[in-house]
Order: sequence, then structure tokens, then C-alpha cells
Amino acid sequence: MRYKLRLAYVLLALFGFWPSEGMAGTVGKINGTVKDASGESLPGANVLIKGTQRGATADSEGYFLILSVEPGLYELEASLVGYNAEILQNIAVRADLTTTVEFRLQEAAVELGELVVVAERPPVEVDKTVTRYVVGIEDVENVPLARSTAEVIMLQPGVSLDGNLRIRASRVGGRRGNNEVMVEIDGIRLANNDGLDNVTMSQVNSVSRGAIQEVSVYNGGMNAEYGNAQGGVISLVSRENKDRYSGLGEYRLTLPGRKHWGSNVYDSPLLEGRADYSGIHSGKRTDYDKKLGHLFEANISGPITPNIGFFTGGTTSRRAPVYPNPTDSEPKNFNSSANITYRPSGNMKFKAGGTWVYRDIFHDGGRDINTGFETADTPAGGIRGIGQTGNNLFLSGNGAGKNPRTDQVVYGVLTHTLSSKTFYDVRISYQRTAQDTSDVPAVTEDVTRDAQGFFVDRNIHAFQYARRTRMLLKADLSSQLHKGHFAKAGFEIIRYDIYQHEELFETSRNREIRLVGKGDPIIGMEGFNPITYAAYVQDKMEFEGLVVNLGFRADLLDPGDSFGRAMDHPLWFHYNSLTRWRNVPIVDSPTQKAFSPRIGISHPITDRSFIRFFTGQFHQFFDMQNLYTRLFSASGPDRDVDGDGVIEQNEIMNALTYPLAADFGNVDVKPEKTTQFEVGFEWNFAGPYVIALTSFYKDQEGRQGDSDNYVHDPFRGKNSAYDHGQWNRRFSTSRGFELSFSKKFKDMIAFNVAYNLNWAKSHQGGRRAQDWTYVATGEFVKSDLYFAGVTFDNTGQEFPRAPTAEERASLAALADDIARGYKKLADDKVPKFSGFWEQPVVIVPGLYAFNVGSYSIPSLDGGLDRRNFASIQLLFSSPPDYHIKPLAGLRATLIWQMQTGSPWNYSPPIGPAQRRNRPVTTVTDVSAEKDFNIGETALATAFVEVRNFFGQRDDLSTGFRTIQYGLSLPPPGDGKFDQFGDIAELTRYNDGLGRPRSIVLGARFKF
Amino acid sequence: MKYGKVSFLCLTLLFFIPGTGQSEVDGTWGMGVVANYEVPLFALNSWFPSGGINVGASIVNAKNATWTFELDGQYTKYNSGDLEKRSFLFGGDGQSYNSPNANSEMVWASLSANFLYHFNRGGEKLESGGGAPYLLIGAGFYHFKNKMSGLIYPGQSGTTIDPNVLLRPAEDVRTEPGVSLGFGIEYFASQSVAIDIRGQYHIIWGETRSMEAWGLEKAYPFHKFNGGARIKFYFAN
Repeated sequence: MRYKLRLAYVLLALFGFWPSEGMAGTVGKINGTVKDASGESLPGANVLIKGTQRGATADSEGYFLILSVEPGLYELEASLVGYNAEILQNIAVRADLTTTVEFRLQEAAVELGELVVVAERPPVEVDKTVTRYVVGIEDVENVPLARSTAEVIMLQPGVSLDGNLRIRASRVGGRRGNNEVMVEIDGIRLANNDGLDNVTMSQVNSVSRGAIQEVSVYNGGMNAEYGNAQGGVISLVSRENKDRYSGLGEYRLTLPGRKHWGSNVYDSPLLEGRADYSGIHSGKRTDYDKKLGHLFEANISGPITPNIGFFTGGTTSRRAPVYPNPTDSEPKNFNSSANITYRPSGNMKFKAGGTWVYRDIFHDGGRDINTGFETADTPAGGIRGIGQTGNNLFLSGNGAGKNPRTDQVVYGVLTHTLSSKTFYDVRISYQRTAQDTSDVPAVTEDVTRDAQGFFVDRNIHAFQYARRTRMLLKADLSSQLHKGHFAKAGFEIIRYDIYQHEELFETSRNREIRLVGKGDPIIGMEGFNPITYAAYVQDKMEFEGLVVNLGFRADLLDPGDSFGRAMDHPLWFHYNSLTRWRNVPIVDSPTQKAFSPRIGISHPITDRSFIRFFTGQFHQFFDMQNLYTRLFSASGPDRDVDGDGVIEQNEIMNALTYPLAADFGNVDVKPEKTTQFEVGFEWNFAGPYVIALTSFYKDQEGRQGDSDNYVHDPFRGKNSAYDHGQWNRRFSTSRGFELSFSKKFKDMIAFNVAYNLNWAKSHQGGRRAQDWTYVATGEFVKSDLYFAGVTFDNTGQEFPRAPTAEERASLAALADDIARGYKKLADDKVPKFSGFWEQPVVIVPGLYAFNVGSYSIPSLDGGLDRRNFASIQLLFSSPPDYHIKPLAGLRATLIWQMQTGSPWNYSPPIGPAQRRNRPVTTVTDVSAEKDFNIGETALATAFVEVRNFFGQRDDLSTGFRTIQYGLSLPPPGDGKFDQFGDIAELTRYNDGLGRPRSIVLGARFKF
Repeated sequence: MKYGKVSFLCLTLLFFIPGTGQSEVDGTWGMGVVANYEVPLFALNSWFPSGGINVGASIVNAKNATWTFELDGQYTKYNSGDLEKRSFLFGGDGQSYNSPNANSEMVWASLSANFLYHFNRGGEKLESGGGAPYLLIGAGFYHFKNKMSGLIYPGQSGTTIDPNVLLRPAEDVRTEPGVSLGFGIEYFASQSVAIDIRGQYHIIWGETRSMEAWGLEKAYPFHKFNGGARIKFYFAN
């Protein structure tokens, strides 16, 4: 009679089950052997993934391989005539990993029946060659305090706790820098480095926690499959479900209470007692600190037909505001994702999916108009809040309209297994990010104040339309060439459309416009269309006691049309306004190329420990916005150039010229380069306990930075204003250690301790790093490229004016004199700033750029150096049938996080300046939740979370008095403090990890 | 209340203890009271060189003859910090001054889970009597308050110091995790009473502010050592 024999846990060592590293991006593989009780191979044995049509037949050595298996937990069954079948349960498959199992079949003459083994996931993967942390769906569910995908990632070693998801001091993007961490979902790249603040945090949060099957975090070392990134990779695999219907609904309620330190803003010393609530301001207080916060998440998935499954889900929230804002609530927002999976046969799969994210942001009227909340440059009368030292507090809302943003991705993935050893994937996607404005006033009103000095509502014309579209085609071919040799190759092509039009009219006279596109808003504008190409090969070779992972990647960027090297264009008089810029020629830009070799080596010491080494180069093209951007500003009205008394179409915006330190794009740049070394060690020293240590060093060169550009024009003289062109002028290093100590979940307890020690330095330096002065010689003056002033037609359009022959002759002579003067500076190496004048480079024949180098000593990077940061997670989870009834079905989590403050310069009473770190910030969050079974298949959960359980308030004051006298508040005798209190109380304690204690109650329903 | 805040956090740690076989002492509960002398080390020692008295209580569970679990609460107070005696240099006249009314003290309250490893199944001596040495490892949360007041403000302008211009009283208050290692001997006088002599070294991820005008740098992290005795009362199974 058949019966099931269940063996739990103890068979781990006997069956030698562990996953090892593969290279399949979003799928893993299963291999192993089928043997009899005596250890003899069983060729012809069938191995099947239960519930699917996927399987393999053991070869003459009893070896089998099943490729392209989605991440998740499976049951495997091995069978052979004459033998009892064996089932292995709880087989975990991870993306980019190989799970190895071993079957031992008993002869049918021995009546044991079917053997069922519940496997245990091994704590270490002994042939991993890069630092990689994998969080599966079950791990995500075991950390209820991590409310979003980003918070799950932040708990991994090496990831910063400052809310930016930096990995080993990587940069996160912005107007003047790259986002160094690449994010992908189902193998589709999300981080495209095409500007528009594609920061990692918003990208990972575009997929809600409930939609994730698995998250992998690569801390710097990456296979050749990943490129155009330097800091690491966050790979998301979305959930699929075709087996049975399941769903989730969750609601979180944040209780009211002040979400910032200090007094209620309406009573804050910041206002210096000016607020009069009995008269003009009465009724304008808002109860911002009494608002509830809400978050909803729901998803549903299941089969449509036996071969088709679907998943759809989304999240929306209305969090209570930290400070008063236009609605005293979070603006409308929604994240959603969905996919359909179709398996027409056992060797083919098609997945179509997409995400859609919407944010309704209030425009603050300031320059950083992507944020929609107050920033350092929120203008007067812009948006209600504590900006402008509290003088914006009594605005009724915001006068600059809204700034809604949508991010959407649709994609298709075809996976076809050609044979038992080979499969390929083809991916296509269309992504679109659009940031628009609505309710934009046509004109900007002047700033006015009320009797107490607070700003009064006014309209601000601040318009933005930014669009990015990316069309991707990617293909990968993977093959297990033989048992110890897995190879993969592929290519990727992405075509971009980059368009941006921003207008900020801060006052009735001051106007500013940023453009990314061909043309301008008056005559019509279209986007630029760069294309990136990439190809790679990767080969993983497994030898006895050694695993070698070799890869090589080639990347190419074709910027397409551009304004060329725009650094000097705006400095010439004939091009220096928005309307004169129409004469700048569009050129076909030079391509940028990069080649990136990588090698990883792993040496398994035992089956529970290994040491690994990785080195490689990583290249990343400049954020593409910085190839094409233009910025103009005006402080007066447009000019009637042709004197007809009318500002005609071609005269509109002719007053906008380049402002001091304006940004202008430049395609004559090289890709940034990072070289990384890392050595790692992992050891499962006892039971479920694992310790891991990684040491790393990253060296970056050619990082994006701006240099000051001048022109010394023989016609106009040396211009005193300058612009900023983006250039490869910065360097940085990051080195440190990552230590983790963990206990995998067993006996109801799990914990994870992650500690990071990281030094990050940066500087700008080397040749051409300080400033450039463009100098024409006579040769250039005599060419068709040189102009002396402008002329105009009867429409008011200005054109470059060619000099007369006499002018050319005299200007040519003058130019040569000027050039000789600069040449002497270079020949004599005359010092300037921290460098000296260096020999010129040729821009075009006759036009030279004389450069001043910068040779500053690298210093700690104030934005990136966090020296120490750590987290401790403690999880308790009891089974539903636990013998202490009140504790049955209970989960409790504690997360403690700490980080060293950022560095600053301290000048002691005696001695040179020192680099000190701001105080350490810490926070402890706790949660508890209890399950209640509803029937056989449904589960209700009630939970409570307490953020900043101990109410930790961290004072981040710096300065001489802070170090010498322990002073964080103003010193004794400070009149304003004595009269009003701590004027800086609203901001003195922020920027740490913890806001005031908050309590979240919630309920979840799953089936 | 801070004790209430910290108390429930370590409840889950009750389940950490591995089992190593059966004994008559298995599962014996008890409670204890402790008196120690505590000395801060390294940077914190410069703030409070003389340390202070430490008292506390614990709940004990002898999981088996080898492992014993303790839930241990302790309270310590350091009085008369070195800040009270130190002088500062006033830039106005280049002279050193004391603050005669300065007060510096530090208060600790901690709750931690300790795991005692008795060598050679020494826990069995609860039944038979005798001494059982052990190693200890613990972790928990430490709440501290570092208070200072009455300090003359050294940053006054002018050339004459005004002793009435004082820094406002200040406190560094935090609750942070810490770990400890220890060694001790538990002498089982009877089946219900034991005397435990122990030395325990603590590291806590806390920080004081800098007071460098008085020669006191920031202390981070904290190191301290306490040694003393505790009496444990075991209840019959």
C-alpha cells in the first residue's frame, strides 16, 4: 500500500541541495542527478515539475537539466519504471541561480511507496561570484514593516538608509548627475538615464510590494548582461499566477499626530510672533496635524484558462502631510501593475505586462519643479508651507498650478526553450514618462505681503512639459553547453525620444526657460532621438573547486542630431539668446563607445562556505538630458528688434539670454567609468546561521561635472559671464566593508544584522577641469564660421552677421594677439585657482580652448559619505497551531537602523580644518500582526506598526559651538531665542531617520 | 514609561534558546536581584571615570543543564561626572575657569536577553549543589540620559568672563541596542538559591555630544563593564 514518508530538514546534507549562480536574468534553472540507493546513475529517469508540463530526462550519467524556470517554490517528482517515485517539495528557484538537487530512488521491490522530501533552502550559494541579495515573496511577507518595495531593498547590506537607495555610495541622478543604479522589471530596463529625475526610489516603488515575486540587489558587481550602470542593479520579477485564484486587500491607517519635530507650525517660533490669529489670519490655520493617513493596496491573480494566468494590482495613498500644503493631504497618486502569462506548450511562454504610475503633484513655482513640494528655492508666494522662513504659511493653496506625472511601461517577453540545453528570450517594451502642468496661470504677479510680512497668494507662471519615450528591443540566448559550462549572449537596442520645455516666470520681469529639443516653443520643437546599442557575452565555467564567470560587454551611444559641443555656443554674441540660437547648426553627433570586461571567481571551501573575487569595468553614458539641455533667462521685456512697434513672433523671447552659470548640453563627452574590485566570504557556520563579509573598492573617473566656459571674442571682448558645460571632470572613490550576520527562519525566529563601513571621496581634477576659455585665432576669424554681431530681417528674426573684409582683417590680427597672450599663459604655466593654464586643445581649426586644470586633493564627499550605517531586523513568527494560544499565528518584527551623519568641515581653535561627521541618527520600528483563518483558504490579519518606537529625536547641529560647547541651540544671550524660542526647531532635527513616533493600524485580507 | 516601552521587545527572545537534551533542571524558572559596580571604558570613561552603582532584577529560565536564559533589567547612575571638575580656556583673557555649580550625571536603564552557557552541563548543580562557571552573551536595548547643567558659557564676547552666563541645561537621551559578553560562576547553595558572581562587558550604540572646550570628545559607541553579585531564587518544577 502506498504511503507517504515525509522527511523534514535532515535530508539537506544528504541530498546536497543548493542553488548556484546562473545567468538568466528573470528565470533560474534546475539541474541534478537521479541515482539509485547505491549511488548508481539512473539514465532515462523522468523528472517533472509537478503541476506543469516542464521536465527532463536523465542522461547516461543520470544528469538532468530544466532551463528557464520562473522564481518560486516547486515540487519535483522523479520516476522510473521499477522504482518508487520520489517527490522533493519546497524546491526554491531564484532568478539567475541554478538549483541543484539529487534524487535517490528506491527499487519498487522495497515497499516504501512514494517518498516525499521537504527540502530546505540552503543558507549560502557557494558558487556566487558577485555580491547579490535575493528577497523572495515569502521573505517580503515576513517583513511587514517594509511597506514598499523600496523599504524591502533598504534592509539589504550595502544599500543606504537615507531614502535614496544608494548602493556603496552610488549617485541617484538629478539634473547634474547620473542615476548609477539600474532598475529592471522582468528583464526590462526602467532606469534610462535620460533625465527627468528617474531616481531609483520612484522606479522601484512603481511596482507595489504585493506585485513582486522576487527582488535581487546586485551591490556593484554585475554580469555583462547588465550595463549602462555603475552602482548596481535592482532586478524585480513580477508575480505570476495560473494555478489558482488568489488575492489580497490591505488598508493602513496612520493615526493623526504631528509628523515633524517642534511646535505646531502656526505657533512656531519661526514666525517670531508675527502671526495674528485674531484678525487677518484668523480662520487660515489648518488642522494639518490632525489628519489621518490612508494607504490601500489590492491585487488579484489566477488562471483564465489552464494555460493563461493573470495578475493585476495597485496601490494608492493619501498620507497626512508633514507640513501644511495646498490640500493638507497627499495629492492623488496611483501605482498599478498587471501581467498576463500564456504557456501554449511546455517549451514556450509569452508574458505581457505593464506598470502605470500617476502622481498629481502641486507645483511649488520654483526651479526644482519636479518635486512639487517645498524646496530650497520655493519662491515667495509659491506654495503653502514653511518655505521662505515661514512667510508662505498663510497662502490659501498654490498659485502655480499642478505638475502631474505619469510613468508607464508595457512590455512583452517571449521565452522559447529550443532544446533541453538551450533557450532564448526576446523582449520588447514601450515606456513613457510625461510630466505636465495644469491650471498654469498665464502671467506671474508680483510679490506682495500682508501687514505682518507674510506673503499673499499670487499667480506664478511655471510651466513644464517633459516627455521621455523609450522603445526597447532585447534578445538573449542561453545554453548549457555542457555540464560545467553555461554561456549566454545577447543584445539590446533602445531608441529614446527626449523632449522638455520648462518656463519659470518668477516675477513679472524675471523669466527662465529650459529646453531639451530641436527648435523652440515659438517656432515649434521636437525631441532628440539618441539610440543606445549593447551586446554582451557571458560564460560561466565550473571546475573542481572553482567557478569562473567571464563576461564582456560593448555599449554604444549614438546621440543622433544635436547642437554639438554646445559649451561655447551661447557665449558668442550671435548665438547668445533663445531666438539667436535658431541659427546654431544641428549636427550629426559623434558616437560614444565603451567596452567592459568582467570576471568573477568563486572558490567553494566547503558546501557551506566559499570565498569569491570580482573585478570589472562598468561604463555609463552621461544622463542624456545633459547632452542637449539649454537654459535661458531674462530680467526685462522682449526687444522690438526691427523697430516697428510690435513684438512679432520672431521677437518673442528674444530677451532671454544665457544666465550666469547656465547649463548647456555637450555631446563631446565620454562615458563615465567605474572599476570595481571586491572580495567576499560567506559561511554557514552552524544550523541556520550565516556570516558574510565583503570588502570592496570602487574607482570612478570621468564623472559628470560642470566647468566654467568663457569666450574671448575679438569683436566683443572677453565676456564676464560664463556658462556651465557638462564634462568628464570629476573623480571619486568608494571603499569599505559590508558585514552581515543572519539566522534564516527556523524555530519561529529569524534575524539579520547588516553593517556597512564606507568611505566615499570625490573631487574634480586633472586637465581641463576648472575652466575653459575659447579663443579664436586669425585663421578662425577668416573662416565662414566666424561672425561679428547680428543682423535682422523684417520679421525681427536675428541672424549672425558676417564681418566685412576690413573687419575680418583687423579682427584677425586682434585675434592672433589675444591668442598669443593666452599661449604665453600656458607656456609659462601661470597659476590659477588650484591649477595652472595648460596647453590648448583644438575645437575646430583656428578655434582653441585654453584650459585651467584643477588639482585639488580628494575629500570626503559630503553627500555620499555616511561612514557607518547598519540595520538589525528581528522577526518572530509562530505557526497557527502554536500551543500558547495567544501567540498562535502571531508575527512581530523589530527593525533598528542607524547611519552616521554626513561629513562637514570643522575648524578647531588650533590646528588645520578637520572633516567631522554629523551625529549618528537611529530609529527603531516595531510591528505586530495576528492572523485569523477564515475557512480553509482565506486569511485575515490585523496589524499595528509603531514607527520610531522610542521617539528618537536626533539633533544634527554642526558648527564650532556645537563641537566646543555642545551647543545645538543658539548661545546664551541670543535675543530672538530668549524672546521667541528656537526659530530653527522645525528643521533642526529633520534629515535623520526618524520623524516623530507614528502609529499605523491596518487590516489585510488574503485568499 | 520607558521601562514599559522596552519591556515587550525582548519577549520574543525567549525562544532563542536551543535545546540540548533532558535533565531534571530543564524548564526551571527563577528570579534574581543584582548589585554591581559599573565602570565606563574608553571615551565614556573620560566623562565618568568613577562609574556608579548598578542594580537590577532578572527572570531566569534554566532551559537545560547547559543553557540558561535571563531577561535582565538593570539601572545605573553615574554621578559627579568629570565635567564638573574640568576647566575651560576663555579666549577673552587666555585664562582657565571652572564652573563651580556644574552638574554632570548619566542614568541608564536597560533590558536585555542573556544566554548563559554552563560548562560541562553545570546547570545540573541546581539539583546537586556546587559551583558552575559559565560564559554569557546578551543583547538588548539600553536607555540612557546624559545630563549636564551649570556650565559657564566659554564663548562669551569681551575680555572678562561673566560667571552668570551659563549654558542652558542639556540632555543627550537615546535608546539604543547593545550587546554584552560576560563570564561568571553560579554557586548553587541549595535547590532554590544560587549566588552568581559575574563580570559583564557591554557595547552600546549610543553617543554623547562633544564638549571639547572642556577636553571631552564625543563618546561613540559606549563601552562599559560591570561586575558584582546576584542572588537567584529558583522555583520548584
